[in-house]
Amino acid sequence: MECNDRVIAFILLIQLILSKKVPPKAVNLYLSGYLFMKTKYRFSAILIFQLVFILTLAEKGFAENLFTNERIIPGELSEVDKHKPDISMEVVSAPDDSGEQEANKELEDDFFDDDDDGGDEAIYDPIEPLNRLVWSFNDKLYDNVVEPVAREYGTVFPEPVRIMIRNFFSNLAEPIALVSSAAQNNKEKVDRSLGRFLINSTLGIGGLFDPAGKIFNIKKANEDFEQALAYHNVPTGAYIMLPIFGPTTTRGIVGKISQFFLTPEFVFGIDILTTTGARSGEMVNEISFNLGQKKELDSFALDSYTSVKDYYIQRRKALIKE
Amino acid sequence: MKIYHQLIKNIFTVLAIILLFFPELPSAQASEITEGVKKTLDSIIVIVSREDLKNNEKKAERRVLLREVISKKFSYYEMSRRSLTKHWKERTAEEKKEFIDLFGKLLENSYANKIESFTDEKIIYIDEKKKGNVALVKTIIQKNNDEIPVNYKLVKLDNDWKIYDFIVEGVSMIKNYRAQFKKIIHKSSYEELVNKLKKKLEKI
Repeated sequence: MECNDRVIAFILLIQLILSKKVPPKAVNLYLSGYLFMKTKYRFSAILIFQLVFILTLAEKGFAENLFTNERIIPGELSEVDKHKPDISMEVVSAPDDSGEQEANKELEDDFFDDDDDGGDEAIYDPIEPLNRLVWSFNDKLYDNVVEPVAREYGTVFPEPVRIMIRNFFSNLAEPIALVSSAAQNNKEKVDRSLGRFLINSTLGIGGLFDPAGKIFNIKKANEDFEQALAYHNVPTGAYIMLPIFGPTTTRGIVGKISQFFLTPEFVFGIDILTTTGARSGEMVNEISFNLGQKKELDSFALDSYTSVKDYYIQRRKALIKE
Repeated sequence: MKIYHQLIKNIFTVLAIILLFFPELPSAQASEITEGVKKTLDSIIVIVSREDLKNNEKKAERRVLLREVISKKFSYYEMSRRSLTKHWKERTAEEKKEFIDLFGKLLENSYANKIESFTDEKIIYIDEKKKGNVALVKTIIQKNNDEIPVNYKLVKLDNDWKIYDFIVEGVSMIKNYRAQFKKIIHKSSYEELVNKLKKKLEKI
């Protein structure tokens, strides 16, 4: 086994250990992943590892420890194993009137109670003063640097080209959606992500075009690791405004870190300079599609920090639900 | 007996024929709400697409026309009440009136601003759900391959269905303002909120 592979296996083993509980199933999966690594099926090995990581992370003990001050009582492994979601990817049968239920729930949610002070969107924000500082930095950075750059970029590159670039990066993220959907027992989305990835990478010439969506009508499954964690009832944790990257939560950070192991920059060991260049390009490209939006938000929000925070939380909730 | 059976059979036959040819009969009522929303959105699009009102000088005129259409279908009272939640009860009648006026102007301008950038997107009416005197109309805005789900929440007031919230891509406008108002009142006071509203409106 090459040196690189050993390093990867080591890092992934650390991940498992960090999750504090390593149930038998996870160990078996890890071993099979290790064996895969010795062959050329490196990519699938990494997929397996990520699944294992998400599942072990989703166990209550770990989540509690990360987001509260409770101490983990080392429980019995067998008990833990019983609670683990079955990853055999069976179709979760939905009740026939699920649409009805959901819509009624939407109406009920708004069944206005005069004493309701909107507590559901109030997310834990322990470092609010710091967050506000970072937000004002981000705000100024966006208005003075990022937006003008994106605008200029938008004039230099015509829209079809920018769409191709967007498609390219979106395609690279399909494996993440695949693993995340698998961790959520959503067979339909797994199929969709797999289909889109294969078709767009081949027919769509390396992901530049979207024949999967246009010709075969396979809609994109908008999933990431944070949504998988949310599915397993991992609480959001604290709201954190990151410089440059924008709003996120503790859970979001954990999701992003584990997601990193499925990105091409990790899998193919791309150097940091190229990675930074490519990812900032992706960001600017994405912003070039939504130029006026921030200004709009600013004109009509009384407290832009809270508005952005609430918008972020509502948007994540909506993505998690679907 | 035979005549009785014959009569029943006849009635059923007639009913069956009616249902066969007029299957929309039961749902005719349910789509009334969607129709109301559609009418409003269509008139808004007409105003926004008018060539003679397109440039900046005509903005005031355009806004007046839009305000007419929007204020007929939006219930600023419900929006104000639901975004202030428990603080609404504590307000006096004049304060309530002032708030409805200010918040209404803000919302009007916010919505008008959004739709003025409307070019040739298509609006598809997906679904309608009703529960008591509250309803939900689901639409999708199609813009060159992007699909943006926009849902409208309506409440029945005086036999008329009025919009009290719109939800774009899962984000409810009223909830967003609720969070902001709650924060401002918590940090300073209601009066400060009113001040901020006034200052914001001056800038628009």
